[in-house]
Amino acid sequence: MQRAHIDIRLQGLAGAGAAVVVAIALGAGPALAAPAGAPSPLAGYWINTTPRTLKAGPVVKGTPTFRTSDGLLIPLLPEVAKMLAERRNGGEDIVAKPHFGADGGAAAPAYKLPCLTPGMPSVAAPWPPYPIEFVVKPEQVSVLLGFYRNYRIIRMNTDHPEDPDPAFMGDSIGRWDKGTLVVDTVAVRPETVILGAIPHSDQLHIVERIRPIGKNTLESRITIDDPKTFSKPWTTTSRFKKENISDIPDYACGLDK
Amino acid sequence: MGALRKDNGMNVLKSIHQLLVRSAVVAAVALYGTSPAEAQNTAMAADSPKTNYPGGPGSLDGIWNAAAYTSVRMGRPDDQPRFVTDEGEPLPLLPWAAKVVKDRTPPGFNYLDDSLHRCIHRGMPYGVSTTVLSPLQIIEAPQQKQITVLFETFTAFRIINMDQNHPPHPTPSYMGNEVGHWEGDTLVVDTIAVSDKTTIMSVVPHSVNMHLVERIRRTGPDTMEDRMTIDDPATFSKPWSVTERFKKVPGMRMAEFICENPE
Repeated sequence: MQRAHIDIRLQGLAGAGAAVVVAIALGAGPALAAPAGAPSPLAGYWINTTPRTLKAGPVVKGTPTFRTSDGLLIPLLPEVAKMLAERRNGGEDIVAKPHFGADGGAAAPAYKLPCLTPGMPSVAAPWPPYPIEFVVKPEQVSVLLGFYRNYRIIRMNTDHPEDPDPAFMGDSIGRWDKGTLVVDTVAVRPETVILGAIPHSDQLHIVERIRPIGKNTLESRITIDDPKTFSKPWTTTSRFKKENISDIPDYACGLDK
Repeated sequence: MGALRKDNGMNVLKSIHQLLVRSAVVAAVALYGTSPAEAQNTAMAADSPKTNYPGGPGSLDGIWNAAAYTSVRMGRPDDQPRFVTDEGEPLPLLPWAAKVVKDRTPPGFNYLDDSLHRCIHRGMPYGVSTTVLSPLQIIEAPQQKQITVLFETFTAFRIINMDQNHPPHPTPSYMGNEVGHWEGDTLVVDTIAVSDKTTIMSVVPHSVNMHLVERIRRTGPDTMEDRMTIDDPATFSKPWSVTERFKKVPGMRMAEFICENPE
């Protein structure tokens, strides 16, 4: 086939593409048989191995404190810390429950319906560790959740809508930063809580940085930012191990008994 | 060459276009480890619903909405439901099953007054019923040997493991245990171990031994069909089929649907 000379230079640049062209030419597009590529390192089933719950700490300078069970002081605004302490002192067991909903939703007084997913940020590092699966495509990463057998959709390389509808899972967009999946979530419904008890405002902004460590471990660094709840953003790190399973089981809520 | 020089500009533009397409594919291969054809299919599927037809691997990717009510209809609110197979016949219910259906559909039964309002997950095969009119998204992920179906209703999902056998003794579940493979332009999905707590069309029972085979394929530039054959000798006197039809609606997005009205 005759080509202009400039075409030959471009072909040189796209040398790696030559094999691709041949494959497409031979394979006639969509009817090709099984692909040869390896799956993304994030692909597959994972179990959270980092337990984390809310713990009450001592009163410091007149203000109650709360920590994660692995020792991180949560930078609560004083009025939020006092509200949590009041609920606890009023007999509400706000620190014993790792998530909202498993016991009929008693942890968050504002919203007591059973069988309701805890949504974000809880499902970013589910505890108890129901399995999750990442399904990785260039335009969308889907996270299938064993928790209530729901899913999250992370739309890749795009923006949040101007006025997103609040959702339990929020609105998530993502991009790859080399091998790390960076997920940005806003518009989380006010009914969700953090660590089973901490309410949040409509300013809640969650960033996850998820990357593989070796073949069988993922690390997710989750930064929570809500200027109406916390005095500054704070970050926890959770690790996930690969699970050799091939399905997400039913979650025993929301099913006919 | 003289004649070619006159067309130099057009050839260069065409070649740049080809280069960009190839580069996008190469980039996709490098980043995501997709095969060249799959990467191209993915790039194209994301852009235009009218590509990837007539079909085969990559052709089902996308968000699909019910094209029309199916032949298995629930009837009007003031009507008794009428169930009709693809062949125009009533469902071949065994007597015990026919009685169950009759008991569940008293006069005045409204099909909307069903598990949807009790926040009970539908499972299979009701989940793909087009009486729902909520979209579903099919995600082909061949590198993970999986096709995932995301339902807007109850934010539920199916996992179809590709080119694999069923495990020896799967625990019955709402979606069942699903394996699939391609036959030319048709995705064949084989489902067993569906919990007998799910129904067909909200009122029709089935046993845990139900065997569901779906033949899913593109039927046009923006249409798709799922021909389901249900084989359950404990419930039906013979296998029967019903076809659900779907189409792509430009700009359709999946919304979250977390049920908030449990009974």
